[in-house]
Formats: sequence, structure tokens, C-alpha cells
Amino acid sequence: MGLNNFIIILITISSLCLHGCIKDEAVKLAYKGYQPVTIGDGWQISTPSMENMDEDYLNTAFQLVHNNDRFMMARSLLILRNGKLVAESYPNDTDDANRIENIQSCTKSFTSILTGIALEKGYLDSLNQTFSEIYPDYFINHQDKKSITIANALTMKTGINFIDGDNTRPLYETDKSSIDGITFGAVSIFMKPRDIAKFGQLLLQNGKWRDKQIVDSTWIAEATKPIVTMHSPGSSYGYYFWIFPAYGGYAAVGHGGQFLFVVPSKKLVVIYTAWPYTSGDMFDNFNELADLIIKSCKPLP
Amino acid sequence: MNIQYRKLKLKMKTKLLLIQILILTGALVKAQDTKLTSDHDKTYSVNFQLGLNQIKETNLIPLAHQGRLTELSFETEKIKKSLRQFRFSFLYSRIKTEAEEMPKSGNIMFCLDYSFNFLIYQKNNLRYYLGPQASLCYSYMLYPNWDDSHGYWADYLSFGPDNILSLSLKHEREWFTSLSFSLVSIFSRPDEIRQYKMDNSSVEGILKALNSNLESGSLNKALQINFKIEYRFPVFVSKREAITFGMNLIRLSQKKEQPVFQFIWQAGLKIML
Repeated sequence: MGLNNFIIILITISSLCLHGCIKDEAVKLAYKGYQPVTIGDGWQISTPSMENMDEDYLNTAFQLVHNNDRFMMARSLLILRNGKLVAESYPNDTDDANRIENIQSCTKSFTSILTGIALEKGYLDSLNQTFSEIYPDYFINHQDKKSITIANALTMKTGINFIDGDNTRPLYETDKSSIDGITFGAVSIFMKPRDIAKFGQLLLQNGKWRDKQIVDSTWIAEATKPIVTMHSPGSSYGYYFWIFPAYGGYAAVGHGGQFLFVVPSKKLVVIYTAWPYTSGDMFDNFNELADLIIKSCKPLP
Repeated sequence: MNIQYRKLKLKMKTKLLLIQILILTGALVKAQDTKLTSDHDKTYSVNFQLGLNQIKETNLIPLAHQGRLTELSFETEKIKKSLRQFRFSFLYSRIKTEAEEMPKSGNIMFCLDYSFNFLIYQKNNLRYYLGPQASLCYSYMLYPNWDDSHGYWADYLSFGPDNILSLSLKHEREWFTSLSFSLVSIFSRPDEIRQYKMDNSSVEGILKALNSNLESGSLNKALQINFKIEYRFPVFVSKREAITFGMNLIRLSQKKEQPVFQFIWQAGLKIML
């Protein structure tokens, strides 16, 4: 029993294991349709045909999210039209419907609306107000950043680079802030998909929820008009909102490919959530989904 | 083209060199024809292994990450009435799932293993040793495609039995196999939900994370099975080498979290100093 036997044993064991002893499991649930269920959260449920939507396009969109590897980390897709929940599905886990998840940079659009409320209530003087006027203590050692205005922040034009390290740390000391319930402002608000839909519907209704005007409609119009031209074609940026003129809509967009898409002319709200930490290399799917869902919208009577 | 050609040429040279070493060592063995025994007081050895590393971190995604590994280990072995082994190893590998084109994920692993085995059975050239062993492993993974905000880890300090079977052959050659597994472990994994945390990526932060969330458990929560087989043969007088092969299976599952699986398959050459 020498070297030859050793090699034979080695090759035998190796051939058994080289292709892998650990196998992949299904990442997502099998697709079973997109019919929403009533859970008593205030949403009125409807069907595509009732809301003038093409079921085939919707079916394609949901199958894409369920079955395509480019949507590997998808958590939810919800479609609302005319203020009613028409379609929803949770490809990863049905419990994701009730789970608060990090919607990353979609948070910015919430901050935008809060800014509008703060302006209306007089908590802020104007968009040209500088942060150093509001928080002077933070700028004692940062004279070069004293001129940064609220408008600069809302249009992502502060000139501050996150990679700036220690120089910007006092301005972004946010590592623990979410624990006490105060959001970062720019990232990491946690919400259930159907609650994001309420925010979308609030925007669609020009800031009015039931009979109460939550935010001034002129602020929503201001925040969702193109202010900054973006590098990516077909989009521009408002006050913490992405604008898509080709669709006639605007969106809150967050890491992982997550988005809240509002198309006022079609009375359409779309929510897509996903695992919030996926690298940008693994998602670039907004247009693909938006195209299908826009196409599914037949003209309203 | 030139660079690729040079790389190919270098690979071929390396392979040829390895084959020459094996042929040379075989020739030397025939020339020596020495005694039939594996008794030696204490040996130090360096083991270089290549192989396959598979990890499935179901806290993140239930897909197997797979890639080539490189492992370097330093070992001591002392045989008198007992057989004592100490091993320090460092493993590095780049891994990827089938859904990814390039292996952007990675795993590094530091392990310390110690075993103290008693001679239980001896007949002719066959010896069987049994005794306790302890393993301390720190395994750190990054999956930047799937999670660019957090690191993942699967660390453990485990205790269990070690079985060693040694068969001495002619010309100072020897088959040497060991099978060990954990019975009780203290282990650490990240929380399944880390929504409110951004990783502290400093050395201090990583070390703190690696020793957090400690939990104890037996086979149902923490299982490590390690199998090794070596074919040892002399090179020079009183010096031996070994062709080594090993497999390591790890499964850790903490509280409600989904388990992490790791399977390591490796083969290499051990120089016994």
C-alpha cells in the first residue's frame, strides 16, 4: 500500500467533492401571482382590470422579480393605481410584508418632504439658509464648510465627500443615531412596503392625506422638478428626488435598487424593495421594471 | 500575449519542478532503504496546501460561494508514549457564487489546533491513538457584491476527540490519518439582523466583532469534522516529506439565525524539518 494507493484514494475522494459538497438553495419563493390580500391596514384592494391595467405586462414584471437573477435580492414589488393596491408580491419571504426594512437612500425623499413641512411651519427660514447658522458649534473647526446651504444638501451639491475621513466626521457622526429612533436623514429609514406606499400616495395626492394637507403641494411640485442634471441619461435630480421626464414621474431611489416611483399623470405608485446592502454592480433594474409597469397602464377614463 | 505566455511558461516550470522533487525524493528513498519505524521525538513541519473552499452563509444568501484556497501551516508533532500535535494555519481564498462573474468575495481563516493522543492499540506496524483535541478558529468573510456594509464571520473554540491511525511501511514510509470532530464549542457569528449598524472596519472593530455574540453548544449548533491523510516518505537521512490531503466541514447555527456552512478540501506538500 504505497503512493499509488494514496493517489487513487485522493482522486476518488476529490472527484466526489470537487464539484462541491455544499449545494445552492432556492433564494426566492416560487411565483404564485400578485393578488394582494386584505390585512386591515387601510389599503383598498383592487384588480388590474378594475384599474385599467394590462395583466400580461404586470405578470411579466412580477415574474422578472421572482425568477430573474438580476433581481436576486428582491423583497417586494407593490403596484397601486387610483389609490388602490392592485398588485403585490414578496419574492423572498411572505413575512416581508410585515417587516420593517432599511430603504437606504429612499430616505432622502422623506427628508425632502420634512424640509418642506419645516419651511411651511417656519422652522427654517429658506433654502438658502446655511447649516452653520442652524448648528454653529459644528462648524467652529470647519470654516470652509460654513457656506453650505440647505439647497446645496437637497441637491447633493455640498462638495463634501464621504471619503473625506476625519475632516467630515463631525458632520456625519451618525453611526449610532438610528438606535435612538432618529434617522440619518440621508439613509436608513426603516419601513414596511405598504407604509412606503402611503408616502407615495401622499405625494400623488399633492401632499393631502384624507382631509388633511400634510405638506404644501407647491413644495412637492418644487422638489420634483428637474434642478440638477445627472450623469445617468434620462434622469435629473430635484430636491432629494430623482426625476424621470420620459416616464413623467419621479422617484425615491435607494441602495439595493430600491425605489418608490410616482407617476402623477397615470395615478400610479410603484414600490420595489430589496436587500438593502447589495452592491451597485448587482442591480440596475429600475428602467426595466418601470418600462413594463408603465406599459401596463391603459389610459384612464 | 507575451505576459500570458510567460505566465503559462512559469506555471509549467513550477509543475515540472514539483514533479522533479517527487521523482528525486523517490530515488533517494530507494537508495536509503532504512529501518521500519515512525518513531521520532519531535518534528517541525511546514505544510503548503491548495484546494477548494465552499461557504454558504444563509444569513445573507442561501447560495454556495466557492473558490480556490491557499493554506500555509506550521506544525509540530511529538511522539513518545503519547502523540502530541500543534498546528497553526492561515488560509486565504477568493470565492464567488454562480450568479457572479468575478470572485469579489473573500475568506481568511486563522486556526490553532492542539491534540494530545494516547496510544490505544498497537500491532505490528499499525498504531491507533485516541485523545482530546481543541481548535480555535477565526474565519472572516467579506461578500461585497451581496453586502457592502458588513463583514461576516464564523469563529469557534471547540473540544472533541481526535483519532489517529498510523501505518508504518518499509523505507521509513508511513500512512498517517486523523479524524477529529467537535463535541462542545463556543462560537460566534454576526446577528442575522444588523439593520442599525454600520461595521467598524478598524482592526479593533473587527477583532471586537470576531469575539462578540458568543454562544456555546454541542453538535446540533456547532459541528466541525476534520479529516486528514498523509503519505510520509523520507527525503534525506532523518528528514521526511509528506503528501497531504484534508477535508474540513463546519456548520455553525446560532439562536434563530440561519446556519453557516463551510467545506474545505485541500491537498499539498509537507516539508518535515
